[in-house]
Amino acid sequence: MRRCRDISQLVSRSMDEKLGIEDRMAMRLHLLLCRHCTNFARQLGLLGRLAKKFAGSDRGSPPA
Amino acid sequence: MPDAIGVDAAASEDALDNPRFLPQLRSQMLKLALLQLNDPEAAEDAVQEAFVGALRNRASFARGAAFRTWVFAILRNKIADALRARYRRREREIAAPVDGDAEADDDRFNPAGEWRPSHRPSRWSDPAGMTEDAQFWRVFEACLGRLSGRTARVFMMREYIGLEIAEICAALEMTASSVSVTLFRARAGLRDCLESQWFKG
Repeated sequence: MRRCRDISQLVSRSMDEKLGIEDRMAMRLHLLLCRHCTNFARQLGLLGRLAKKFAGSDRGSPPA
Repeated sequence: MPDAIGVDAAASEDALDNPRFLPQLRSQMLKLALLQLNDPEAAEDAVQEAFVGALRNRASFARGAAFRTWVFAILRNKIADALRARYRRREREIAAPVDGDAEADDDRFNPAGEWRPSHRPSRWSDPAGMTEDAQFWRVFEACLGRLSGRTARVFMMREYIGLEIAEICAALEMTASSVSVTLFRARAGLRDCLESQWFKG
């Protein structure tokens, strides 16, 4: 049974590459049961959308 | 505060008529291009081409804000093109230090690998509405600034420019696992910072 540390890393990797079936199942199962990791996963997705909005928006300037 | 000028200029209806708007926009674009390409000449070229491309359609922009969004979208493509060309040529550019595996001593987790109570990601309220708040973007920028330059650069290459892992590996001479570790560090660090500075601040 994999713990939150491993799952949080899988969540991040899943945003960049296709995970193997085993990792994918482990991640999904864990997310069904763990609200902390579910929050983490949801917020990581949001960060990607924020980054796109940030640099080209009329609000922020690109990071230095 | 580097974004204060941009906000003012873009908020005005006729920002394009403001003589300060374009020079300021240009310097912000250059900052982004330089961060991504790490090559002043290539960065100048990308910004120049983005400007030429966008100004060609200048008539269709009623407001400076729309122009700004458009010119940054073009710039993003130019940067991606330049990085991909580099990838194809396998240009050996910067000898980059390899990031170690920081996850072994990630203090977000206890030795059993569970979230420590103080680091548990909590639920965020109204994550959609905050993007309308200028103060939120200042916090976001400050949180990005807390990451190491390299970590922030990899994050923006992936999330803003939209490069694949293999392309980032080639551009920065990093291994795939090192890029993954860096992305995890960037995302988790940004998340922590936003949670403490915005959602609990």
